[in-house]
Amino acid sequence: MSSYLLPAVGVVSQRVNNSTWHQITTWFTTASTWAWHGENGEAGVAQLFWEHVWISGLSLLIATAIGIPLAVALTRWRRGGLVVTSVANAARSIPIVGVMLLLAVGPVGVGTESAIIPLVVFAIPPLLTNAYTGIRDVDPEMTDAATGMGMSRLQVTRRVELPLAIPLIATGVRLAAVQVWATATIAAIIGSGGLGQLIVVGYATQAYGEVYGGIIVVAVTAVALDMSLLRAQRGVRRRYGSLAPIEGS
Amino acid sequence: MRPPGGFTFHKQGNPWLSWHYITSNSHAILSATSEHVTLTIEAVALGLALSIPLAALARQRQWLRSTIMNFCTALYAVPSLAFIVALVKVFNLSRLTVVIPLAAYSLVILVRNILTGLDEVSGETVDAARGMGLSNPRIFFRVRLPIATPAIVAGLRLAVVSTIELVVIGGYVGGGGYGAKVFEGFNTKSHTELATYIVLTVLLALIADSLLLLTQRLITPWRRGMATS
Repeated sequence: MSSYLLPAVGVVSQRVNNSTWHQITTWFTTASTWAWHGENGEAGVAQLFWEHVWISGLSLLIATAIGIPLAVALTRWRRGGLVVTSVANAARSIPIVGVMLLLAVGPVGVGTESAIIPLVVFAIPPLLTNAYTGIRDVDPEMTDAATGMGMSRLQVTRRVELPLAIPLIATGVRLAAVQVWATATIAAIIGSGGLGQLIVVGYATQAYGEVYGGIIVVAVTAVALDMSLLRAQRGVRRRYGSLAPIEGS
Repeated sequence: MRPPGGFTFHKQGNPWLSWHYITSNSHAILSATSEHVTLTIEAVALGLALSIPLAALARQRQWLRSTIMNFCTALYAVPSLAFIVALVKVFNLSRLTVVIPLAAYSLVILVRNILTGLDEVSGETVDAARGMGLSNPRIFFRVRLPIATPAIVAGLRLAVVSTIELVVIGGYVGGGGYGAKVFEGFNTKSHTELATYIVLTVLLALIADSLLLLTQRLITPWRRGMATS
């Protein structure tokens, strides 16, 4: 318990001493840090950032391609709501790090695939829940009117239901994107590359300049992504109207 | 940790799940479970202790409300690996290294739910309490907070389940609980250890969620049958 009582400021100044500050400032001011190829032939921030964008973007794209059609299909089925809540609850209680480590030592092996599979799987629930709610809450009078005008089932979905569900679909995409970006950091533990590699490699080699530099880069990009997507989402809501409060996960 | 008695994985193979592993490691499983539960309770308790005053403060002014919510949301966006590793050099391998980030992540869920709960309290109720001569702090603790309790417990459920999952990442920096075992299983390539503790994490989350759901029903009998989320 005594560790709880130590004044945090004193501890910080004691543990993070001058040499650590020096390492951090050196890391930030060295040009090769930010280059494509960093020092000693290791990947620089530019390359790691690109890998991070690639892994996250691909995972989000696959998850969207699965999640949205699945949401449409589930709204057609009486038991759909139960499936959606079950999937969301299950995903919330499964430790994604554990799944990545499991795939890495098991069937898939160390590398990017072991990262992308869980990233896709865990990005589906927020997309699915929001798209499902969005489509389900479309006023039945709207779809009736569209059917009355002679639209086919597919046309009703594509031209009435999905456009009306856009504000909530956008919420789902934002939540999934932020989650994927943050979780892709952890994937560096299993050697998938990306910005998390700065933290993992630095931590393993006790290079604290790299560790704290990596932490700052990872945190800043994640918060920036969250804020810009929130802004974009507000724009979408102004354009398409709103169905639900903007927060909510 | 290798099971006692000279038993090795190679003799038994390396199955994903084995009942024998569970029975011969029951002691390790129990101690990891109690560590995991302790870390979760500490993190959520710290988060709750911080979020009640934060929510009370957020209700004072609109700008405070948006500042606090934005701050918590930004904190939540910081990847857990970065947050936990950042504290390793500060707290060494003390449990605070894991407890502080997890408490920070529970903030956004708890503050949002407490605010929702407090917003539900009608002005008439507060006027009635004031008419009975209650002071503002007393109104907050005796009227507003009890009325907000169902929403707070709903938030606690989400916070507890996500914290149980996040404790696992703490294993990367030597934090205790199932995380230590999951990373040990990864480092020794033991399928059995890895899979067993992942399943245990899921079970623990489900049990905690059910217990909190039960609590939620017990303290709000009038809400039975209504949707809770």
